[in-house]
Amino acid sequence: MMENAKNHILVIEDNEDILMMMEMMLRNQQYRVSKKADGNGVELLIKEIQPDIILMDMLLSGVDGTIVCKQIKENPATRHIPIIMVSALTGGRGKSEEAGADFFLAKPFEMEDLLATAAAAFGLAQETGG
Amino acid sequence: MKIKFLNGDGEMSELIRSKDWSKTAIGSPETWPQSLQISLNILLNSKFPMFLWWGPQLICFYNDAYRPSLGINGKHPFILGMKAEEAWVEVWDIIKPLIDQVMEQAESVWHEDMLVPIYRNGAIEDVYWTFSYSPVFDDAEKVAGVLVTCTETTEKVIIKKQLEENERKLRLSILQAPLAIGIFRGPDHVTEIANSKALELWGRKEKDVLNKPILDVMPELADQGIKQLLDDVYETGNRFAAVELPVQILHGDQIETLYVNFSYEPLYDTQGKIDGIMTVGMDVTQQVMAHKKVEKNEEKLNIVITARELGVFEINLLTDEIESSGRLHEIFGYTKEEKLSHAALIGHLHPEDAQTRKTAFSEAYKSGVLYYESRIILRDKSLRWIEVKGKVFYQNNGEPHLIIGTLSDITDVKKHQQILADNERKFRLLADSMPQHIWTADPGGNLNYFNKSVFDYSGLTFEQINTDGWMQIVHPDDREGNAKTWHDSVVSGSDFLFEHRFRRFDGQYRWQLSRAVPQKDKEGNIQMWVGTSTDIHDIKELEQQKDYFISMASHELKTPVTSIKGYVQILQSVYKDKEDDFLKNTLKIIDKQVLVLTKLVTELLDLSRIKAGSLELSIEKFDLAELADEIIDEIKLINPGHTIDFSKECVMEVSADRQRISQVMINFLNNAIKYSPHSVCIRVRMVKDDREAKVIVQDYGIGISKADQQKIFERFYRAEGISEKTFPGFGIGLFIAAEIISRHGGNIGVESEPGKGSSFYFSLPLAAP
Repeated sequence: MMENAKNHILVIEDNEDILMMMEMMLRNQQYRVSKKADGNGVELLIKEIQPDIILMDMLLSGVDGTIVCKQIKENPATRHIPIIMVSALTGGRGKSEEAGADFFLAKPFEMEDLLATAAAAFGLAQETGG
Repeated sequence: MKIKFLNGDGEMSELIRSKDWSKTAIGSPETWPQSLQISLNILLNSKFPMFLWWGPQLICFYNDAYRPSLGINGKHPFILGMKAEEAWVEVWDIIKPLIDQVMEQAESVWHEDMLVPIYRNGAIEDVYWTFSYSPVFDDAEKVAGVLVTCTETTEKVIIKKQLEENERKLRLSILQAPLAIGIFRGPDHVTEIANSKALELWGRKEKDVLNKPILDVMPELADQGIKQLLDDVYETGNRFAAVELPVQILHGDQIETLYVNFSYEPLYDTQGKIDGIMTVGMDVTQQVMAHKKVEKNEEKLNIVITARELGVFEINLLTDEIESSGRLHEIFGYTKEEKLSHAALIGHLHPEDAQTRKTAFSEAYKSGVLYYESRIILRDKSLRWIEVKGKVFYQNNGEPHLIIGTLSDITDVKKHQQILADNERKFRLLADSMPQHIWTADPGGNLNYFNKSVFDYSGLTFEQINTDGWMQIVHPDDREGNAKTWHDSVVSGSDFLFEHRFRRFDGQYRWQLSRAVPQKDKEGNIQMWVGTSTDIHDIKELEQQKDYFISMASHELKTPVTSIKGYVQILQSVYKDKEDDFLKNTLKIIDKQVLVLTKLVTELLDLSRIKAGSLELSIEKFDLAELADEIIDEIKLINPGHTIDFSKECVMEVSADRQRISQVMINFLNNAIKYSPHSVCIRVRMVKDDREAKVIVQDYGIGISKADQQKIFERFYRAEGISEKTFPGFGIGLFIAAEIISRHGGNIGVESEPGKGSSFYFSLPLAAP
């Protein structure tokens, strides 16, 4: 793992078990994982911790994940951060694209699919984030 | 003086004797020459009228027979002994040449019926004569006088002239007669006269018939017995007459049947011998036709009267006398022979109907038409229904005096009506007691009946629905589709099925399922539509709730599944290199069951998407054979106990949702494995033509019965094995597969035999190259 390599991922998921599960999968790949269990104050957090990519559930307690996603993508300071949207909702893929997410993963997902998507997102961050 | 030749005792002899002849040119009778004396002797003794002019002066003599021709107050008697020129001044121009001819040429002159007017009876009269002037010779054999032997034929000539005039008038009257008149002469019946009516009747022109045998001119009559009739009249003199005899006559170029009244009268000559036939005829075709029509109508009327078993009556309103037919007696329970008065008939009327009859009669006097129905009570106390119809006839003063009419027994009709009414009431009651809305429509689709439920539900009256239309209770958003579907059904005659919302009396719209079927007669013509509308609002709401529940439940299920799946995979990766087989096997089983659980949840979600119409397809071009190859490899890995026989032979490019099509293939393969517990082999074949690609998955498992093959693609259908052993799954896989293939415009199906296995197939249109 290179010193400058992008490896910081922010995971936003309100189901604690799944949040922890995704953290374990990602940490196992040596990614640096920051966690958040709701959708409140996400922008502030991003400003503070500067993640390379974001993995977020579409249904968050407190706020709709698609709105958070839109806000990130509309903010010039954060719009470059690749976002992976996860959802168990019918029609989730469409909504995710609409909100401006770069990747979509339907729940339940295979671990290898999650890791492959995360790798792709880090790759994208590498390209765009400088 | 006694002169021998003047001895006669006639008037003229006496006059000659007494006349003083001495002063005349011929002197005294004693001096008259012998020839004159002989001539006078003959003349005076003749009973035939005679006249004599004698000598150069033509002295006049005449006998008693000639005397009447001179009339009264005429020349007689003073012309006796007078010179001819003086005696016959008025006709001298006529007779002088004749006299000269006799005197000079000694020739006799003969004239018949010659007009020689003479002065007699105080006037000049037209007198006709038949006479001869003959010379009388003197003793020297020179012509000395003219003897006139004559007879007056005035009367005969006048009669003859009258006859001629009569004949002329007869001819004229024949020709102008309004009847067809013709005269045939001789044994060949040669046409002598044919008036215009006759020519019209015969259909011939005058020039074609005159002077020709009538049967030559009208050959069509020959074999109709006409020749025989004419010959008979001609030979026997017996007149022939016929009335309304049909005769076929050629008019123009076609034979027409004419009905003719005609007679053949024999015509006699002066000897009383038949020399001709007069025919007088008249075309009565129109009258005959009119008669026939009247007869036919009368016959028809009789048939109707008899067939409908009508009693007939005639009531004289002035005397109250009635004439009635035998059938009328029968209806009232009498024999034909029994006497029946009007009062007696009225006596049978049901007391409750007496007013009906009275009203009907007073109406009839005004309108001229009598009509009523009433009950009668017969002598055996039985009750019958009668229908009376009649027409009123009025006197000149406008008073009704006669009613002629018919009376029929309508008891059976009334009974039938009663049964119908009872049935109608029964069905109405039945319909009104139903909670469903029931309605009927005419063949044109116009609604004409609604049961009570419709009025109760809508709060409208029949009049309100009838005036503003039933569509007013249909939700505005549903009206267009409703109208179109109903119109299509009415036009095509196919069943009507439609879901729409009806406005309740409180303004709430509730979902209804309406269904209507056409009622057809034996010939298949639609007589009416019978429809029902069932309130499905609550069911529909439940269905929506259920779909919502399924959607939510599957979503909620996914969260724990995601969690379990994730942790199992973490464990598997953590213990990947460990030797603990038990742990690794257990994790593998959990992973596999989570996969099954995931599939079930996915299917449930698909189902709710299909129900909601939101199954999305993401179309891309791909090789179907390659996809099959990939899937079969995966399935083989998971199901090592089965062999799947497949070889990829050619590229089959389709435009489809790769994910969804693989879902169908996986479903087919999983089913094949699931329902072949005792067979290890599964065969996959792919065929294509120029239009589509077909995938066939064949197993040798339990198979499906014919009846089940119909239902297998329905929702929640599932196969049952022997001894009620059920196979896992919701039974919605094939339903989803069918939906996916149908959405791609492809076909899906199965061929199967119980105990031998099944072949499931689907086809997709090939992608455009």
